[in-house]
Amino acid sequence: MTALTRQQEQGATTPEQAPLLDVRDLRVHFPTADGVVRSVDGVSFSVAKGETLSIVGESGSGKSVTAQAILGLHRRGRGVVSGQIMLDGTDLMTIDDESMRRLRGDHVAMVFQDPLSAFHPYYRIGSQIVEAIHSHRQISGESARTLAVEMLDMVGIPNPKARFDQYPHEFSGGMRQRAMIAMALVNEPKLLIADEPTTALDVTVQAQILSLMRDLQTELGTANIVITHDLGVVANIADRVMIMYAGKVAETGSVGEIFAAPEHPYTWGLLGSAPRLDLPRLERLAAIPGSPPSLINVPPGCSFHPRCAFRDDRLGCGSTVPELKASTGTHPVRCHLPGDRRRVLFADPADPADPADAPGDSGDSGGLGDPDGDPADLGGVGGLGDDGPGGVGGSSIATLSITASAEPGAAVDATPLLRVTNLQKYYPQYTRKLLRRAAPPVRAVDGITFDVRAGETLGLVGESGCGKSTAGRAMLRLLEPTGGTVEFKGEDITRLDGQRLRRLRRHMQMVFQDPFGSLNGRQTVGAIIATPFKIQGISPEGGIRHAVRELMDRVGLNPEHYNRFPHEFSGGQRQRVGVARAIALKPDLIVCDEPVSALDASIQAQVINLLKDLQEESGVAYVFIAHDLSVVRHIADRIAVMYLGRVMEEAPWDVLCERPLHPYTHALLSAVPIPDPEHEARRERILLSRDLPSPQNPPSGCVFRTRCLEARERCAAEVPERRELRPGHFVACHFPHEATAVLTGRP
Amino acid sequence: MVFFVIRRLLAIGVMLVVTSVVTFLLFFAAPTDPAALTCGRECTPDLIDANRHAMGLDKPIHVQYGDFVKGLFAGRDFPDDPVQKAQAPETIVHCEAPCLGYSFLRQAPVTELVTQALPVTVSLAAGAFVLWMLIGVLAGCVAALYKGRWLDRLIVGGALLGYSLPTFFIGLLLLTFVSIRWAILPIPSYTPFLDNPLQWAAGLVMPWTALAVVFAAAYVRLTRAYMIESLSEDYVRTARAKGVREPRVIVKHGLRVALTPIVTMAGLDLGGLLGGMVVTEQVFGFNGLGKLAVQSVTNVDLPTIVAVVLVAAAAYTIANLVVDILYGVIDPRVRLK
Amino acid sequence: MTSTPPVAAVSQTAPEGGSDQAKTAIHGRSRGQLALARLRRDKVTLTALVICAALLLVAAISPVLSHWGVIDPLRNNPHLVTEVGSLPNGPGGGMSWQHWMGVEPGTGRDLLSRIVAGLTISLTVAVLASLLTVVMGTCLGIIAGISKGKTDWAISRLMDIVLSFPQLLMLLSLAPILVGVMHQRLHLPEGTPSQIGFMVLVLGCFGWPQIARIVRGQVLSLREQEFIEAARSLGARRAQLYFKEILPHLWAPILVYVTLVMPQYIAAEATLGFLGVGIQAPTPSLGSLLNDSVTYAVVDPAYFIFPGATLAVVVLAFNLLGDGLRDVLDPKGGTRA
Repeated sequence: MTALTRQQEQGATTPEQAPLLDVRDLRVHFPTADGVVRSVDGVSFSVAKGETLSIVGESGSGKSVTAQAILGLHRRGRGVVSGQIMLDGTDLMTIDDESMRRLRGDHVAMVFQDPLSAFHPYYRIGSQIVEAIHSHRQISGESARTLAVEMLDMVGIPNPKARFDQYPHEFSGGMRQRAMIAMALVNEPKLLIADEPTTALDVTVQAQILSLMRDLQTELGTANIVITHDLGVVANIADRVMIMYAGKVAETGSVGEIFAAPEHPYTWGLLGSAPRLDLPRLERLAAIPGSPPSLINVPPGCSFHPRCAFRDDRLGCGSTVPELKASTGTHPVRCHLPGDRRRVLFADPADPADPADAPGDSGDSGGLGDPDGDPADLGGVGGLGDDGPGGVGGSSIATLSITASAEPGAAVDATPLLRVTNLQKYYPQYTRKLLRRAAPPVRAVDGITFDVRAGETLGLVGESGCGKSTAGRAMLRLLEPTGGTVEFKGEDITRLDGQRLRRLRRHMQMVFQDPFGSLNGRQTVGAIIATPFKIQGISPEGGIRHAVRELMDRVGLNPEHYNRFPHEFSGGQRQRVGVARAIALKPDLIVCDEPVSALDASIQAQVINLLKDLQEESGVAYVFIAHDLSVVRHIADRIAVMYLGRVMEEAPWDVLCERPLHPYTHALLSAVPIPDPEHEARRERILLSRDLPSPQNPPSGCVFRTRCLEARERCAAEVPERRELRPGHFVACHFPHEATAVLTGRP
Repeated sequence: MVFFVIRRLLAIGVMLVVTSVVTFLLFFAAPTDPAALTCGRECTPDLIDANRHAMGLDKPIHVQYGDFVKGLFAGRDFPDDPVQKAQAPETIVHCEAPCLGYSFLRQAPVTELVTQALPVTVSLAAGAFVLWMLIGVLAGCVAALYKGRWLDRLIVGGALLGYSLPTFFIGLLLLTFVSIRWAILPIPSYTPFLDNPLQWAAGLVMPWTALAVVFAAAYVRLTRAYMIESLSEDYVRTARAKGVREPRVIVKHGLRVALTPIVTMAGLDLGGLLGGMVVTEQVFGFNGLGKLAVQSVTNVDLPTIVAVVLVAAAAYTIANLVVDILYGVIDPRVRLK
Repeated sequence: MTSTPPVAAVSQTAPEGGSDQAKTAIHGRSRGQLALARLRRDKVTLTALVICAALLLVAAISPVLSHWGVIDPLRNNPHLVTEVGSLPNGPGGGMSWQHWMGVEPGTGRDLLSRIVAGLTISLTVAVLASLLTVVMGTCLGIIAGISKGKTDWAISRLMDIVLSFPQLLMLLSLAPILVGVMHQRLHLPEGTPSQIGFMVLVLGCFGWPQIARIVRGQVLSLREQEFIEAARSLGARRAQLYFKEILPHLWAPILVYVTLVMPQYIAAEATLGFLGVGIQAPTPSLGSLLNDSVTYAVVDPAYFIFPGATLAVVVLAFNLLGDGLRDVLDPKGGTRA
């Protein structure tokens, strides 16, 4: 392999200690009509050869802008860049454009978030890779092609010779990202920057890509910068971590330090606000209040202080910008709190904002992914292990069976609020031949059955294209179902006429995914929240306006803001408006369609907490649709897993997450990254091969069989029935089995 | 792709039929007597009746349309009257396929008039098209690349000015000053390309310029907008990130995509022009389809008007088809659907 | 152009009641107010707005001015033109303190008066035609957008057919037929009103598909927005959906379109005048003035340039306004109207 030889040469000629990339006091400012946007404001870091640095932050933290500055992509833009960027001894700030161009794609390469828009739609994948080669090397078209095909093969694209001549839109999302990586690595760069490389992908595909990136790094010895907002991805892939907030570095350290002993309150917040699959379920997530600041008017002092629960103005949190410095020599933190106090605060189990109140110790520490970690330190602060009472493993099965049997028992007498029976939603298709003839329909939802009882939460999870959103809309008859029945309080709503259906709608509501699109930008939020009253012709006690203000108060919005327009609110606030509108008429059921997936992690937690609080107060039932299993596990009483329009498995949340029986659930669970580097290193993933089949032409028998590791002949011949294998645990599989190892990584 | 083309062809066929029916209804079913308009000032009731008969206007409208279509494909006689044919064959005018009608005012088959005018119109349209596409796309790209700077403002301002000046005004200004007063360019005239290509071009330079100013202005704006959009796309960033040279980034990655909607517009505009440039031909005195239309309108020569309108509509419709197919050629996503 | 905000959608959206609380409450800035703020910063558009308003005002009061004798577009001044050739006395087409823009050759009528009076006719045509275009286009666009299937298909095909007829050629060709119809069937007074009616009708009937396409596209994309689904999930009726949720989003694109179609129609009127089929002399309009002045373009360029320049200024001002409004109302938005 040429890549290896080149790496060896480099290793021989340059000293190992000198960092490959050294960034000092980088600033990227964008002048706008409203003021200067300080996207990156004094960021310093370095990356050693062969290591992976992960830059973590919410949207607007400056992480992507930093990456683009390294590649000199601001040179033609409006951004004003200052500071120093040294790559392997070359000062990237002073070299001319042509020299910069020569470095781009050759010494530093980049992988972008959305591989569909990052590839040029008009050119074949192969020719785009060849273009990358020819921009730096004078080799024949034939050898460039050979090299490109080799590279496609290396990133695991089957049949690379044929794929070379295909267009980007003929690739699936995962394959496209593989090709993107191939294009980035084809010139064997010393540094690979991946900007949210897996954010646009499904979790099972994400697992594939992450494992590919790790393998390639081992093989080629490339240094990586992985930009992400997902701490699970960080734990999976990073050696060192840099947390960014509002254009500045909040803290930086080895992956072990950051996860085991984070010192910045913002990092605590990030860790606490993401629900975790591996830890006992918390009542509430430790959300960070507020939202990230505008980069034009960054708060004085520590830019995090308005959201910080531990701010202390005596220390100057609100007045002086803290320096980035290591308090006790472990890792640099930008915080005024004294180092010892930080460590105490983080370890204090009484603190609700503390994610470390997980009991237990780190178990078998010294895992593969934690080269710098200090086992003693980990134990001391209550490492994020999972051997506690609520944890998983052999010992917990007994506990689980009790919960599992108790749940349905309690609800046996209750008639379900919503009974969905064999619900189908097909979209007719037509051939594109000379005459338009009916083609097989797209089976978006193909016969799903479940109950939702009053006051409970049913989580509906699945990857994109599994039909979960369609199902949510069909069960409210926002989409006309093709077949099946939906009984709401015993009444089949699929047969209701328009008038009665409209009246019934007050009892069943919806919260939407897109906080921008779901609110009419022409109306004030007051008018938006008042819409349900007006449409249903209901006058609440004390008048509509009073009711609206009360609702705003309940969802945590300032009632004084009822005259404002949606565009003046942040994403999280807008989502609160959507929630207020949904609860206005005190419905019995709310279908939440990916209500938090468009939000930043810290904001997600706020909205999830709000939804939970509202349920406790009013006893509303939720159908919670999401792709993120950890979020669903946090909020749902029962979870149904969908795949290609069908429900594969349905069970109480703990049973489904800890004793799943369906191979697809196993794969899904094993793919969810967990923000714990040790845990990540231990886990063995079930990597699904192949792509999702087309819902227009689903596989015969069990739809999952083409990707299932357990598939046998019977699976192709016979559609598996939905069977209740344990009380309340329904599985549609011919060969259900337990696989506890998928989550813990233990045999 | 093949099915797509065939389906589009069928659709275009239907469109042409519908367009011709609509034209027919507009002109022949209008509450005026077309026959009364056939002979200008020397009309007598007898002559009008004779012409009505000769044109077949005494037949029901659908029969008239049938005759027209028959004329297109098989040729027809005026008047199509077996009795008259037998008695006085010398009074019958035969119009060969494709027959678009017969102009009684000009005593000539309309097809002949159209085919005489067509080369003039095509020459005008083709030259202007090349000129405005070159200027428009180039200036638009430059403006997009220098977005917000003085060069951009200059180009955009100039484009807006050019866009606001009606063609005839520009044409007359050019003619009056450049040709007549200052005698920089020869007075425009049409020489067939095959006779003398140089003279052909020299005679056409001014109308080309006049037309190109207005259209180039529109295309500057269009190109600038699409280039700005296209250059801000992710794939352009990818191209830069992999070290592609900047000229190649702009042309291969930016312009290629921006060209898709521009080509669409340009095709339709060219199709529109081929139907006759009424104003330009009138200003510069070129005997193209547009001038034919103006003359026919002034003389109320109905068969010629109808024919010109039909030719124009057909040109536009066919341009539509070509553009649709081109779209598939340019954009693989369209092709493979 | 997915979400273009309206200028005036503020009042009806404020919650009912006007207590003290409402006054003390923090008032949000609606998109309309934001657009106004942007407009105040955009000096070019503001200037264009002022000029357009002034032009409309002048056009509106010119009959009054004429009545008072401030302007006198129809009085002949034979003493101001030479006896041989009837050209204006003096330089610049006879410019003097009484006649700022000189006088007409032949009659010696005051050119400024005629231009001011001509603006009235030209702008009347443009405003009425724009109104007809927008009303037809919006109605058909909304109907096509909200009705799936056959109605949408039929309207879309109708748009295709109408678009395949070149507007100018239709204006030209239909003139001899339809001006008469205006008088005979619609009982418009003969002469200028019939000519205006004809132009408005043809411009409207062949111009609506453009705006209909825009509106249809808007409605189609709005329909897919989640806030429409949200309203449906609350039990809203169709009428509530369309009037309360969708219609407020359409004002901005319509407003922009009107300001962009106005200059086109002003130019179209002038072009028709130039071709001799629009408003007929002695009634002044930009078109009829230009038609008359063309013959003098070489011997008396001032007579040609003043109306021509007026036309250019009017068209430019409206184009600038339309462009600016589009940017103001939809800062991110496309430049493809």
